[in-house]
Amino acid sequence: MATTTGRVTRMIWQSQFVCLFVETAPSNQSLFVLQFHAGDSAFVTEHKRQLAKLLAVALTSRRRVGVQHETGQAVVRGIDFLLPDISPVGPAVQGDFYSITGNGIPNTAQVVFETGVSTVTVTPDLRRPHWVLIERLPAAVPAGPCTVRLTAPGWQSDRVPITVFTGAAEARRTLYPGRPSASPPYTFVFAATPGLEAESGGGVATDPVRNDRATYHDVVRHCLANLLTVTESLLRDGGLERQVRFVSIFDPAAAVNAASALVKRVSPNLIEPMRARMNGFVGRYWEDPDIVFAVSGSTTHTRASAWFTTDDGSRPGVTFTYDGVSRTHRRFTDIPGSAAISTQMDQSGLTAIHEFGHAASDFGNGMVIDLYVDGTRTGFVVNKKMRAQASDTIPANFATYAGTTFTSDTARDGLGYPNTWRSFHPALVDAARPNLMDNYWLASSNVQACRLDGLTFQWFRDRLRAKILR
Amino acid sequence: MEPIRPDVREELKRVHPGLADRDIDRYDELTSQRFLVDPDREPERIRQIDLERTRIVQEKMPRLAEIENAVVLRRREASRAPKPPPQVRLKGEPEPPREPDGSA
Repeated sequence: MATTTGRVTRMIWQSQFVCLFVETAPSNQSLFVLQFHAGDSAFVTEHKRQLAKLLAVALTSRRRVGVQHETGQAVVRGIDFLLPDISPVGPAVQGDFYSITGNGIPNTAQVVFETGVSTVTVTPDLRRPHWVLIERLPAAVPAGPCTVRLTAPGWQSDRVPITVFTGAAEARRTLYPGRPSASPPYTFVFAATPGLEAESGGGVATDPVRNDRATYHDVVRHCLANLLTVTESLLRDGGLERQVRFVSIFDPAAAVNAASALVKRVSPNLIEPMRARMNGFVGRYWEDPDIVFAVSGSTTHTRASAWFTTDDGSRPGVTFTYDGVSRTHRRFTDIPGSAAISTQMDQSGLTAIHEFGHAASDFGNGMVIDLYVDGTRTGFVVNKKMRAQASDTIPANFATYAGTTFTSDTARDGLGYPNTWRSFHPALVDAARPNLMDNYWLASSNVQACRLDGLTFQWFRDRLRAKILR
Repeated sequence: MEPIRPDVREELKRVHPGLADRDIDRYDELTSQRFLVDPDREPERIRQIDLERTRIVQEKMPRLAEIENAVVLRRREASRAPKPPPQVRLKGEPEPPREPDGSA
C-alpha cells in the first residue's frame, strides 16, 4: 500500500465515481478515484460513503490528507488527516496578536501567508524554538482564506489553512497555550487595566492604555522578550517556558470601576498593582492566573512596582530545607503575583524580568527582594541577609539550600557595598555584572546581560518547577 | 520596584541643589520597603511609609516625578526597535533576495 499526501483541491462526483485531485506539490496534481460497484456489500458501500464524506471535509477545510492506494493504482483505499507540524493559536485578526506554535523553529523563521494571488512575508516580533509571535497582524495580510507556514533558510513547516479576519481584536487572547495536562496550567496574564485608581479617595478614571492598543501590544511583546530571551535563563532552563500559558486581556468593553482598576497611582510617580482585584478581573475571562502584569498608559505615573504571590497553603507542595528549616514550594496560587507596568517603560533594561522576580516569589514561602537598598523585612527572604554591624565581615557562606551551600557575594560585583550597609547577598552567576534584583542600570555594559545569583536561581527554578509542572 | 537610573539621580541633584545621594537612597529605601509590607495585613504601615516618602519628596526633590518621567520617556523612544515591514509579493513575481539571516 502506498500513501500520497497533499491537499484535496477538487472533487467530481459523477454516477458511480468520485474523482479527486490531490495537490502533492505547487505544480503537481494527482488524480484518484473512488468507485461504487453494484456488487458491493452494504458494509463496503457504507465504508466508501464515509470515505467520500471525509474527502469532502478535506476539500472544504483545506486540510492535508494522506490518500492510501495500491502502488501505481489510483483507487482510493483509505484516508488519513495529517497533523501539521505547526499550529496557529486562535483566529487570525488584522491588528491583533498572532502566534504559531511548533517544534524546533529556527530563530530566523519568517511567517508566510499565501493566497491564490499573493504572498505576504512577516517577520515575527518574538521567536522561540516552540512558538513565534507577531505583535500585530499587518493589514497587508489580506482578509479571507489563505495558508500560513513558517520558513527559514533550509527549513520549512507545513502549510496550514486559515482564514484572516478584519474587525475587532479579541478581548482575551491566548498567546501561548502552555502545558495542556496541568489543571490549571501556570498562567501568566498581561492585562490592559481599564481603570486607574487615584492615590486617595478611591476615584477611578479610564486608564489611557484603553485608547492605545498599539503601545499595549508593543509592551507585551517587549515583556515576553525580556522574560524569555535576555541572558538570564530562569524561564528557559529545562524548557520551563514551553509549559507556561501566556494570555493577553485588552477589553475595550470592560466597565471602568473599582473592580477593573488594576493599577493605582502612588505619589509622586509610582504605579501599584491592585493585587486583591486580579483574580476577580481575570476570572471573568475564564483564566486562573499565577502572575498578572497590569499595563497602564499613565504618563504621570510610570515607575513599575510589584507584589509577591500568596500561595495556596492548603494544597500540595514540594518540601525543601533552607538553612536547616523545612519549607515548601507550593504548587498552587491563591492571590497571583502582580506587577504594574508602564507603556512608557524603557525597553533597554530588565524591568519586566526584575518585577517578575518579585511577583513570582511569595509573602510566606520565600520573598525575592530588591538588592539596591539596604533594608529587609522579617520573614523568609531568599536573597538578602543582614549582619549585626556594618563593620562585621561578610560570612563566606550565605546559606544552605536543599543540601547545597551557596557562598556570599563579598564584593557586590563591581558596585561594592556602601560602608553603612549591613545587608549582603548570595554570590552571582555572573560576577562581572550587577544582580538582576540589584540596580541593573549600573552595569558597565549590556544591561540585559545581568543575571541572578546562584542561590536565587536554584531556589526559583525549583519553585517554578513545582508550580509549572503541577 | 524598578531601580532608579543613574541619569535620573544625576539630573535630580542638578535640579535640586543641596539634594544628597543619601536623600535619594532614603527615598528608595522607603519605597522598596513599602512593597515588602502585606497590604492586606498592614495598610497603616504602608500609609506611614507613604507619608515619610512624601515628606522627603516635598522637602528635597519636588520635581522627582517630572524628571524621572521625562528621562523614562526619552529613553523609551530611543529603546524601541524598528520593525521590518511585511513583504508583499504577487504570484509570478520573482522572490526578493534574502539576507544571510533569512530576512528579505
